[in-house]
Amino acid sequence: MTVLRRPATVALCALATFAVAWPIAASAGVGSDPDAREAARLVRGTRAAAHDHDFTGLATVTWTTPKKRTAQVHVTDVSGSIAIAAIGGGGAVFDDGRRTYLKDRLGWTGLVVEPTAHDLPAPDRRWQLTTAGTSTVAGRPATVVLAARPDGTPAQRMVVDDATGLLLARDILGPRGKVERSVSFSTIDVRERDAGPVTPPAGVENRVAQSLTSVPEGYRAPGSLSGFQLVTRSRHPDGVLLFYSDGVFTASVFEQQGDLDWDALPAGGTDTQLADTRTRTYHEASGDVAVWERDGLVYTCVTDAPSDVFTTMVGAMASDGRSTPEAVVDFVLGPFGWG
Amino acid sequence: MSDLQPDLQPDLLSAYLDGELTDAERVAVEARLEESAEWRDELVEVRAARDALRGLSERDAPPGFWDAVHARVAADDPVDEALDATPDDPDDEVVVPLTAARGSRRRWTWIAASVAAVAAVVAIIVVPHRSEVSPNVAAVVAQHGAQGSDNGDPISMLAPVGPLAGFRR
Repeated sequence: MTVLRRPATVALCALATFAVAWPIAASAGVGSDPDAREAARLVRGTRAAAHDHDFTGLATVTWTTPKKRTAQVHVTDVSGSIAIAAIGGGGAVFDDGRRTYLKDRLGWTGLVVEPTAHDLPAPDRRWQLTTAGTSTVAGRPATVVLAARPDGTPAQRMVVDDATGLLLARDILGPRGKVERSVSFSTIDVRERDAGPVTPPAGVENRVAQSLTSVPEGYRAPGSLSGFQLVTRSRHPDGVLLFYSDGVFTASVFEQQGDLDWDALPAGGTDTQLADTRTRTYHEASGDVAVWERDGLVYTCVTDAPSDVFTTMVGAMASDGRSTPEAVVDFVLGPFGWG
Repeated sequence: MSDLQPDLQPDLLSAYLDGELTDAERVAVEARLEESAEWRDELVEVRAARDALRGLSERDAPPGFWDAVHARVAADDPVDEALDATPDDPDDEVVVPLTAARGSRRRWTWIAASVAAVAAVVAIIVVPHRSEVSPNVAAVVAQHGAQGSDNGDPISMLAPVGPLAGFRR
């Protein structure tokens, strides 16, 4: 019996050890890939580079509605305060890192100040990050960073300035490789920290959203949503705003109690069915937008993710959250940073 | 608002913000807004007042409020009690003077009507009800760009918000 029991015990121990060690080893394997680590570092670096360097430049914004549309903007960044003005139009944005103001044809409006996000997902939590050679944007040598889907098709291509770490170009790519949206500098002048300040519009105030630890009764706030993690939730005068991130892309979901007045929605949208739910979708320069209603809540969702990611996420939200397999996978692999 | 023309009234600004104007009215208002600083100032005030009003929280009626109202209305009507009395029981017979009955009925009718009117007003104000919602899509998109800029590369998140100006409501 001892002879028989010992191999069984050893096998059980080995199996248990493997079950525990495999995800850790696999996770460590991802992190130990030098190229993936370098790619993740470059992506993370873009967040800080805009605050560390002053510059001015011209950038081109393209998006598909499905007709291709293009706009040019002038960008000025001084000490982390950013002024963006649309060329040939009245649109402008000012952001000092905390407060954001939007100018349209009616003048300046102070946007609501949202709670600060902590514990953002790592860029390589969901996406396979790799460097993909070098490129030149606006005359500056740069490194290309790809974020790929599980099947290997790139979802995002970033071009990161070698000298400063600034993001010089970003393409959002559909599942078939089509560029769905992009921002790219055509000229950029990086300067020393001696430029004059850019100042916010005078006399325009920002309200501060109330940070929430949980949403009020009647609202929904899934902790995870098709690979996105809930990062912040806030109370607005007319609803609740949820902010999600998957490390590379972000999504906002605004919930309001009531019945959706479909006729009052902006023109230019398309009615479609997502998860058997009537949905009005828009393709804007900032991202894809979906509006729908369910169980007395009106949802407005916007994300900068590619269309396939957007469709899956909205479908999950509209169909009451994650599928069972996804919930199981999140539960099992969540502690290891996968999900 | 001294330069308001008779055909463009200030109350149009509220309707304008709510997206309730006809195309022709909207074009006229926007043209006026572009040329008149006073109109733009007025719009800011209307928008602020509108936002403040929307920011008011809804409140529930106190526990037992409606039960108390109904019980009070039902309990204090002697005319109904008289009419409900059965003639077979002489002890229960009640003779109601017509004049007194008429006066009492009129008084209680007025009280009941007043209570009902007050209840209706209170119901409209404090009882939660589902209303029609028209999300300000442009605001949500701009808000997303602003928050995304705090959590990622700010340029690629904010630059697309500039062209957003044409995507209003």
